[in-house]
Amino acid sequence: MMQSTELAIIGGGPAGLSAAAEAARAGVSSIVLDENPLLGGQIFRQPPAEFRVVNQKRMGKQYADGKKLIEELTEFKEKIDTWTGSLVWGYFNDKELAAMRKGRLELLKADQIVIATGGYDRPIPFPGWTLPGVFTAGCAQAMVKSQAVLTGTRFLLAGSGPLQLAVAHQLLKGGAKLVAVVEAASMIGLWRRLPTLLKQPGLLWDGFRYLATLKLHRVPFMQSHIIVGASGSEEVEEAVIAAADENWQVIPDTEQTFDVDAICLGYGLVPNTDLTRLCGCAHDYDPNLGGWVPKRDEHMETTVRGIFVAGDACGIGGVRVALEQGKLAGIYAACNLGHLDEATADKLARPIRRKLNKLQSFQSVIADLFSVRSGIHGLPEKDTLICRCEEICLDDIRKAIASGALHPDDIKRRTRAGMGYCQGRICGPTILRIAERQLSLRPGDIGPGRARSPVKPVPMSILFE
Amino acid sequence: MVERGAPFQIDVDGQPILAYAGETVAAALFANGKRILRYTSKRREPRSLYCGIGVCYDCLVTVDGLPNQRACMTQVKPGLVVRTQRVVEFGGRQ
Repeated sequence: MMQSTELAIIGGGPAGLSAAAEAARAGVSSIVLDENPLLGGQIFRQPPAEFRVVNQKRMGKQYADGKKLIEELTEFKEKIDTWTGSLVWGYFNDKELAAMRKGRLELLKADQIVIATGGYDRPIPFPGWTLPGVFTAGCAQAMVKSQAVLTGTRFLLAGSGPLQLAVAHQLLKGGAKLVAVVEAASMIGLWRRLPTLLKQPGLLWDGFRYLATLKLHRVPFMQSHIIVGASGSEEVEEAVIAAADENWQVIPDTEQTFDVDAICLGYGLVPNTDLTRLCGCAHDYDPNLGGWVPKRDEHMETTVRGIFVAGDACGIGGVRVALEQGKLAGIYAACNLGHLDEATADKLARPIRRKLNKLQSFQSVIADLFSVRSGIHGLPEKDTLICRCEEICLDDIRKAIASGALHPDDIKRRTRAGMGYCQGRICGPTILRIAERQLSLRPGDIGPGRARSPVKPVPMSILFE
Repeated sequence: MVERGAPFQIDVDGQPILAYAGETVAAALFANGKRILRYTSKRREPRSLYCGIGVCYDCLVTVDGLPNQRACMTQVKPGLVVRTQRVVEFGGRQ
């Protein structure tokens, strides 16, 4: 009943796919597991097999890059087995994974594991953020990119960083009307850091191209502004924005209201650490990497021997970083398995490391410019929901902390925040910020909460088959 | 840029809706103007897509009798029966 493999790679995005390719090159047999019906992850997301691509060129670079990487894997089809539609929900004993594959239970014993589960949009609560029509940048992007469906007609985009510009570009191409793109950061800092940014002219060029698209469509780009509220009876009808200072604190009496039917939130990404926490890997707090991230060495190996991480799951770095980190993880997993000796692995890794160092200096400038400032955590009101699943509001959480809960796990036990369907993926980062503010702690002093199997809900019935 | 797959009907809250092969339940519902996917059990608030990539579990609907399926991760197929979720059916406060 239990299957086994040399290498299990969890996540079929850029990091996971490049790990699989590199490991296969060294002779390793692997299984790539991904919850989605197709490989690619978020950034390389491909349209469904049933859709027909009529114009390859208009699909964009990420589609093309993803398609190429996925096709490269077919070269190793004897070595790489792909389990799409497979949700990894449990980890037991020593490297035994439990997955739900197309509705059935699969147990998989792996000699080595690469966790490449990516990231997701950083949740920033404010009054009205649970209304239908308010969703993340990643959501709007996934819907327009792979499903060719617009999630609304009149959009307001609010957040920080280059990703929301990319989303604006895609929405405009898809025919949406954008009433404004609201950027919390001030762009002044950008000019000072231009020398570093110029080292990656391609990425800088993308940014300017996106801004030019906004200009062309007469979409106002409002820097140093944040969204402070959304309202509507059953769905979102109005968005309220306000000017913010450099700490992202709202400046009083600067509110402006927009009629919208869609609000798209993009405050950067947070690493998806469900599985690294579940496997018992140690974690560090690094705001430039998106928060709590698994500790790892130069080989991308975590503190649990034989478990590797790569890509946004070990710190938000974007697709280029993910591709290179995936290669390292693949190489050193192959080394642990005896397919490569250490000297060969190190030799293969050297040029990859050089590339990574270059990319990371660019990435840290972006993170520094656009990372979330603390003022924005003052937006939720007493009755604003923090835990969307269990419907736990700010006041509930504050009361639990006031009565002695000092850790997210305590807060969870007292309030149920983080106990629902999403298992704290959405409220987790916010609850840490609330506790830090209330207890006068610094980010990193407490957290992260414990992860438990199942990290995503599965029906009990699969256990009794 | 893309042409959709073969069209067919699915049943959403007792009404026939046109869907295309390859679509997710969320895409089919949104394309037909249906954005409210469920009501919560405590506050009885409407919910819809939030993360759109299978992380947040806010877009839960009942699919072929199986409750709490993510609309963003579930593929349509001919004759699929989708129910948006109301509090009362799930034993929540009225």
